[in-house]
Order: sequence, then structure tokens, then C-alpha cells
Amino acid sequence: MFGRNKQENLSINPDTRSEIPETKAESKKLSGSERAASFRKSTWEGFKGVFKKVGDIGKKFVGGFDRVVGKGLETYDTAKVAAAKGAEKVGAGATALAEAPDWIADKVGEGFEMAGEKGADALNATGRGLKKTAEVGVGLGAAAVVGTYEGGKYLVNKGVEKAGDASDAIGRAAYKGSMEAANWMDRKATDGKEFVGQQYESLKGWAGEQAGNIQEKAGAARESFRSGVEKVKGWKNQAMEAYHSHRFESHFAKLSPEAQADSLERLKAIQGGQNLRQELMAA
Amino acid sequence: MDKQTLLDKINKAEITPELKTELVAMVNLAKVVDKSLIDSIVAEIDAEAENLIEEIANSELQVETQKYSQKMDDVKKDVDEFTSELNKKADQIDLEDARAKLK
Repeated sequence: MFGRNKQENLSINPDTRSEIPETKAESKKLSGSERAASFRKSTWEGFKGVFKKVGDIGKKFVGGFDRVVGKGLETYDTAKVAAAKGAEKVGAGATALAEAPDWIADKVGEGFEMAGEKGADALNATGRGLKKTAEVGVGLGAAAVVGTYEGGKYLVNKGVEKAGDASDAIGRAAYKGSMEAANWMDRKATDGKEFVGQQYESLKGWAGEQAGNIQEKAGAARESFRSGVEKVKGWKNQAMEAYHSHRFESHFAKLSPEAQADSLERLKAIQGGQNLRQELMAA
Repeated sequence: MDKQTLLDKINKAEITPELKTELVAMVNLAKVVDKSLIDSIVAEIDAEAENLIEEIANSELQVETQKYSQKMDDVKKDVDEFTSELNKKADQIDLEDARAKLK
């Protein structure tokens, strides 16, 4: 506003002053004052030139001011638009911020819910695993007890095949137990996610190796027992022949030290019978 | 051979008391010592020897069974240790899994 008033003052003066020379020119007719009039005219022309310059400067100033103001307004508009956009963004941000707690709460809620489900899954899986391994252990233990009992019963009933069957049953139980454990691992590895799957794959390898060792040990024990039973059967079949040919003592030496120690009185009774028999046959 | 000589031989023989009682009874029941009596006594001695051989074989089987039972005890111990270790490892995996998911 101040610039515009100043522009008006500066633009009026040159126009107004341009009227003055003609008014003063009427005094040329005045005697003795031509030079003075000329002087005033030239002076006025001089002032006019000055005024014009001042006017030009003023115009330039006003033009510059207009440009400045225009630029200012333009800048202001730009700023206003930018501010509006900024405000819009701030508003969106504020809205987002206002909504964020709900989103975070939802996510946290989902996280806890998921953790709860996974925790329950893990507990259930552990429970199933414990139950299964317990069943396998109990089954194997029971099979071992039954097998031992059957083996003992055989000694009373003299049923060699029953002991063999019991031995086979133990071997089968050991194999079944190890296979069930391996299958259980397999299911865990398949059912589990990436982390659990990898871990259980590793555990499955270890469990398979362990189960294999146990199975091998049970198998070796079974074979050893079978071999022992066959050895006794062979010994028994040849015993009467050795008795009749008086070679029973050397045949008796083929037995285990434990069985020999347990049967010394029987050996003496057999030898006593052999001697009596020999005497009677000779008589 | 007269009955007394035969009885003396039987009583001196290192045979089982049961067989001795059986043979003495047979001799006492016999009217004379003849081939038939000797054959019967020998058959009794052989039958007793067969019973004793069977008992000795059973003793050997008892030893084999005890060895087998001991080996199966070892297997059961291995199974118990395996089961315990398996459960520990499985529990550890489930625990680590639960922790990872809670992070």
C-alpha cells in the first residue's frame, strides 16, 4: 500500500510541472526579462529532465516493486499451496497416527493369539511325544519281561521253541518300538514349520541311529541266545552216545563253566551209574 | 552173582539215592539174580543217566537264559536312556520354537 501511494505522487508531479512553462511563457512579452525567462525555461527543462528521470526511476522502482510483490504473492501462493498440501499430509499423518494404536493393538493381539496357539501346539506335540515314547518304552519293557518269563517257563516245560518265539517277540518289539519312534519323529518333522521341521529332522537322524543301535543289540542278544539253545540241543543229542562210549566226562567239559559247576553232582552220579553198569555187564 | 553181592555193589555205587532205592527194591523183589534182572537194572541206570543228562542240559539252558536276560536288561537300560534323552531333546526343540514365535 505504501509503494502504491508513492507511485501516485511521483507520477503526478511531472505532468503537473509540464503546464508551468506555457504559463510562464506569457511573461516573455514582459520587457527586459527574456534572458530571465529563458533561464527559467532552461531551468525548468532541467527540472523536467530531472523529474522525468525521477519518474523513470519511480516507474522502474514501482515495476520492480510490482515484480517483487508479484513474486512475493506468487511465492505466497506457492507457500499456501504447499502449506495446504503439508496440512493435508499432516492431517493424513495425524489420522494414521490416530489409527495406529488400534492397528498396533490388533497386531499385538494377533501376536499373542498366535503365540498362544503355537504354545498350545508345542505343548500338545510335546505331550503326544512323551506319551508315544512312554508307550514305546512300556511296550518294550513289557515285551522284555514277557520274553524273560517265557524263557524261564521253557526251562520248566522244556519247550525250546517257546524261548525262541519269546526271543523273536523281543526283537520284533524292539524293532517296532524303534520304528514307532522314527515314525513319530517323521510326523513331527512333517507337521512342524521350518524351524521345528529342521530341528526334528536332525533329531530323527539321531533317534534313528540310537534305535538302530538298540535294535542291533537286541538282535545280537537274540542270536546269541538262539545259538546257545542250539548248542545245548546239540550237546544233549550227543550226550547218550558219549555216555555209552564212556566219553561223557570229556563231553561234559564242552559245557559252560557255570553249568559244569551246577552239575558236578549229576556228573558223579552218571559216572557212578556207568561204573555199576560196566560191572554188571562184565559179571 | 548172588543177591547180596549185587546189593553190595549197588550200595557202594556213587549213584543218586533215588536210583539206589529203586535198584535195591528191584533186587529184593527178584527171586534170583539172572540176566533179566541185570538187564532191568542196566535199563534203570541208563534211564537215570538220561534224566541226569536232561537236567544238565537244562542247567546249561539256564545259564544261556540268564546271559540273555542280562543282555535284555542292558537293552532295556539303553531304551530308557534313549527315551529320556529323546524327550529332553524334543522338549528343547519345542521350547526354542515357542520362544522364537514369541519374539
